[in-house]
Amino acid sequence: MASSSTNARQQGGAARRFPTSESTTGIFSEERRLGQALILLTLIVGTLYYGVLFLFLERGDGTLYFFLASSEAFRLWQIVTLCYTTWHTTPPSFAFDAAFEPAVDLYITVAGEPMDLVRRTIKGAQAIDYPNLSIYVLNDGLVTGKPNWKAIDSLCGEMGVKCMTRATGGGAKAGNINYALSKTTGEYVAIFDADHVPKAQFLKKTIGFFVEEKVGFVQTPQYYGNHALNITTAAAWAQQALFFGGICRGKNALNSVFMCGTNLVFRRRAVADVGGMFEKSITEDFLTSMFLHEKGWTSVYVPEVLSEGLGPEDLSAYAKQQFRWARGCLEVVFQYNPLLREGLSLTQKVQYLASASYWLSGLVVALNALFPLIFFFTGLTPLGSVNEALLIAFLPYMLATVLMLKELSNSQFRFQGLCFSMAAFPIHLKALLHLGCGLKPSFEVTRKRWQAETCWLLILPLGTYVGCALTGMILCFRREGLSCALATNSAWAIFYMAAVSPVLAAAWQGRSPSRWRWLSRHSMAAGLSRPGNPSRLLLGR
Amino acid sequence: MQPLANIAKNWRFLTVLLLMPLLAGGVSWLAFAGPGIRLAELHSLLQNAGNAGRVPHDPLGDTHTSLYFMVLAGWRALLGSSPAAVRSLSEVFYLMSIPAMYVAVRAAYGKATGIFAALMASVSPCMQWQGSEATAFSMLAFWSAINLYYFTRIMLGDERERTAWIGYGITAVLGIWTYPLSLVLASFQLLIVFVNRRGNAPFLGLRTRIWGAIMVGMLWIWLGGKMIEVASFDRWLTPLDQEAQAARFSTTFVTLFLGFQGSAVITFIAAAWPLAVLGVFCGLSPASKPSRLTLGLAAVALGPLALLAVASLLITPMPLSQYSAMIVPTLYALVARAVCSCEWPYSFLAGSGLLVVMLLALARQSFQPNLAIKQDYRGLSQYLSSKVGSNDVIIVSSPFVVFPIEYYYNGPARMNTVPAWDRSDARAIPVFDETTMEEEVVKLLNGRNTCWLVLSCDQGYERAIGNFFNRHLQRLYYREFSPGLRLAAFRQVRPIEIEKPRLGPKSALNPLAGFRLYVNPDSPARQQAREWRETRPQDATLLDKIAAHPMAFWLVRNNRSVALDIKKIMSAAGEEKAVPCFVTYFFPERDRGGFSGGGARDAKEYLGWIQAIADSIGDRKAIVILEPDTLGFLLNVPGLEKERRLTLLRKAAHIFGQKRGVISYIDAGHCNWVSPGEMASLLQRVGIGTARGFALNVSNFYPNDEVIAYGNKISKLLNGKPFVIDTSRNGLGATNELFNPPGRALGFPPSVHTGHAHVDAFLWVKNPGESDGTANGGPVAGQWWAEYALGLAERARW
Repeated sequence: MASSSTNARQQGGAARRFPTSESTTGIFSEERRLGQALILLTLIVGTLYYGVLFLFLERGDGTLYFFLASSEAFRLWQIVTLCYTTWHTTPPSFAFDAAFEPAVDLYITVAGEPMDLVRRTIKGAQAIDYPNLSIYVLNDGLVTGKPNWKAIDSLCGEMGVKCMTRATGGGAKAGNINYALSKTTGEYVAIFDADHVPKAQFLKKTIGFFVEEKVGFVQTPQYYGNHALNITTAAAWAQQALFFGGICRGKNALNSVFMCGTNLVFRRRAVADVGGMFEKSITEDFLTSMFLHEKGWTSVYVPEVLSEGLGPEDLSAYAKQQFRWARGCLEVVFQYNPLLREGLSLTQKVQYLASASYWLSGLVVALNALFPLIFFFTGLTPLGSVNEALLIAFLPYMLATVLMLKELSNSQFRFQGLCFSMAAFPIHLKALLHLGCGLKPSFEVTRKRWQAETCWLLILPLGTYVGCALTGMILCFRREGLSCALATNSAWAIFYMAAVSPVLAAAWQGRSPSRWRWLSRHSMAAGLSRPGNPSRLLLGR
Repeated sequence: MQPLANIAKNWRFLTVLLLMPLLAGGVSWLAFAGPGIRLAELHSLLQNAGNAGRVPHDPLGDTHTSLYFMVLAGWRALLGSSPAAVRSLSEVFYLMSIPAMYVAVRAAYGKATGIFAALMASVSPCMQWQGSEATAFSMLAFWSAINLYYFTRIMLGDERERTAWIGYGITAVLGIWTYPLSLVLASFQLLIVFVNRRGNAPFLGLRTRIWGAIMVGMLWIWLGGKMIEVASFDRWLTPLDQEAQAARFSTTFVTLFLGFQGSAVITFIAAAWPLAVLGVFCGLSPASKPSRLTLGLAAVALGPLALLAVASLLITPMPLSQYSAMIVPTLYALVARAVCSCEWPYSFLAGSGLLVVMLLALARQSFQPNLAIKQDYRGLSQYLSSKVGSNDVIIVSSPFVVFPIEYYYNGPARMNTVPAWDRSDARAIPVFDETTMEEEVVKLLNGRNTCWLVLSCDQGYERAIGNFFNRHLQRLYYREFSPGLRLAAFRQVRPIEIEKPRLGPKSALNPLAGFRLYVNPDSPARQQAREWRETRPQDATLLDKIAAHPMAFWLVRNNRSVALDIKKIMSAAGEEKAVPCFVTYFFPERDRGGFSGGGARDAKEYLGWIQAIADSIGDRKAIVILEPDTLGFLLNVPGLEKERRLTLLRKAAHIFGQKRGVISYIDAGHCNWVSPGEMASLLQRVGIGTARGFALNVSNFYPNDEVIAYGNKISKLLNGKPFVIDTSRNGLGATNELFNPPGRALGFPPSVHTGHAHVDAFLWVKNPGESDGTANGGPVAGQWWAEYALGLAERARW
């Protein structure tokens, strides 16, 4: 008795406080209370903050104030939609029939990935526990000019799965899938990327939902098996954990889940109904699901990790992946604006717009990061003399937001995840620029293995920022001495420099794999290497 | 045997535990216990002196009922009443707090965190200081630490709950008994406990809960009564409230960790608050949610503080610094937790970094003599006792400062306060009024040799008193014993004339009648005087002659901050109910390219600038003098150009004429330039009707009688339009030179009582000491030239 109580005290009582239930339903009911309380708290302190910001503070330079006001308005949009998305955490009840076992085609899309990766995926697919399954490998190696397309072909023969090598290109992955759709007959189609290995119960846990006629597709989360490898994979996983955790669960309750390209099953009739996978966009999954929702099809999200994949192992791969998503989604905002499309419910419109407009956040971060620099070099600020009201309103708001993010991602969304989101602003800006100039993006598949490539897109702007900030601080000190404005703006500059430092550290780390072990032993990735069930990582106990 | 064996095993650990308080106590005593008493300690020291009830105090820290004062009474009975003895009680509580912190934090987060928290307490400058001061705060911190221990046990659901609740109850009551606002903290704690326990088995019987709620309710009523008492005590601010007014949320936090470093340093550090945002984001890092205990402690520490901060912003300043003393143990516990829960290299780095910073802050607080907190009443009193003569008079302001000075004073002269305060009446110190002050001082000075002025704890009227003395008396001595605590000696050299508004024929219409002119607290003369105070005291005294008088603000360029600067001046002047004076000097091609060449690019820029100035002034009262020398230079300008310039100036005059509060005077040169008739016609063409009048002798040296004669002639031609004259440098008249002529002197001090029917005021438009241009060895036009200023002041005939 005495030792357990000492134990409890030493662990801060954690052992006695949290329930040890194994079931997922129990988790939802406990988290719901705390989650909703946190959302309410965030909204309340957020209102206070915005009230203080717009009503009580003295304005400084007009142009800068305009930019500050617009970026805060965008953030307000983001936080409100996040709260709205994640409010209903009771899982909606979908019809599920475990005995429903129609014919399913499983597509593995390959475009030049390494052989061992593809072999692993095929093996995993073959191990799926399901009677009526046909596996196809969609080999795009020929049309994309990859050297190993023939080897893939022979690998398929070796392992006993059918290989469909496309001879005429066009439409990238969407085109690949559409080609396969024309050649196969299974009523339901499961899609896997070359690096995402399905688990045995994948189909058993997803097909049952299709017993409901209106269900168009079922999506499951992506999990990065290599998340503890280095900073880049850890950050990429953190971002995925937030999305596939609280956010997708929320979207599920609002019938707004969109296809995420892999680990999903869709109904052939549904996709045929919208004219096949949409070939004109680089994020074909996002747009196709929007078209599906327009036509009245519904979507289901299964919050269980049913496959294991690989995250980008170096910064360049990460940047390319983010650029692809940014470019595609920004196109949605400007060319296929959900607000203007018929057939979507208001909820779905808001959800699609919210998800797509996330990729504008880089612009906002860049603007905000520039404010201290502008002060250093010119002495202009967006706000007049800042009084304490801002501080008192802002810090609780930040605290509430952080607690909410922790809650939504089950504490997987860690500091460097947030930093990578912020420091990715050059990628977002480049995507905006490309969209503005009408440049067509190249359909390049994310590289799955590490390569020693320097990601100049990220390093150059971020390094310049750090340099300018330091110079600026010195210049400002010489101009003003130790003034309070210098202190505040330097603190912001240090904040942004700290926010970009994980990316720079990842760049340094990415030069050689030997550095991965040194860092992961100590820091950021270490806390993630919990053994065992990935589902637990995503969902909690 | 078992406990002894345990001690033997942990001897290293226990040694550390014992050493910490000893070292902390040593530092605290050596560094802080020696100096003289401070305002905050008056109550403790004068407890038995009979005056105790009259010493201004925070009603929340009442002598009669506070536990601290009861314990102190007993302590004094044992150890005597010297400052050292009285302070030692606080020291004892401080030293006991260190192991108390260890015990409390160990219960919450484990041994390592407990030790770190105890280490923080040992090097904390804030706690060290309070340990060496005869106030209740270290006792309060001690109760809070033990209270934290029991609160933690309750939150963790300890099985020996009954003991925990009893302990909690006792310490909460002790805390409230020491300082009533502890009730807010205790209420928050109870709230958190109830929220935390919802759904679990009831822990206390229903009856206990009801009785508890009744008791808490009654305590709140009692506290409410005290708060009403506080609100009604707004006439005088207690000594501690000076810090409270300046202390705000952010600075309070910084003070709790880094001690009392002086407001400039603390404000600078507090201005770097975005680093706290970084800290908040780092809170994303631990791969687990913060425990309920941590969330509870955070709510307990920050919730009431935030409420008080919001109340301070919206209602009335609240005693933030006193309240924050109560949450020190909780805050330190949270910080210790944050530091110790990081992974290994970061926790060590952060922890040692924090301790090093606190140690450095402690060192600075110990050794830096010039901190505002180190009030040196003893030094001042002792000096005063040695120097004062029996026919001298001592004047003290603010009035309650008289207590610490009298504690050490043993000289022959009598002490008076301004405003005069009858100490036998325990109620409010009278409100300050400038005319009353002047009369009182004149009465006190009557027939005395030297007047010693002590200024401390500025309640907002120190500057008015100082200016009055500087203007009318000769200063013999000045010293600042500690920041904010100053002593000066004055001697009367001529009878003082108190300016009473005289109602002459035209002065009833003078818009400036009865108004004071605004004195710039940061003029170059004032800054130079400050710099020279130690090294060249006589010269500093001379410069005070200039600095004590109102001077005009020159608006000479179109920079972005013009509007903001003017607004700042207007609000500062508004607070003192004084009228500032502005000069606009930005006309296109001003000074015809001379030493002061420059001006607006074109009419559009100029008028936009004028409009911005007029808008910044708004409806408040201000004097504006338009464009010195501009009309004079029009004498030799060809017709079309002259017409354009007159139109432009007329438009500018019109813009100012629109503003109700602006008293505008269009500059009309000086008596040796344009003939009266021609100037009158120019003034009419420029729309003198929209202005109050015209201005003469700006930046010039002609003596008053000549200028006034010239002005009267113009005024007659304009049907009695009034004018103002610049008397900044015309004390000895003019020479042939226009730019920095040597041997000039300050003229009449600025005044709105000129004794001349058409002269609204004597103003110092040109700031004496600012150069006219690079002539006669002076710097660029407008720049401060100290030697020239000294010359002007030396030769002044007053």
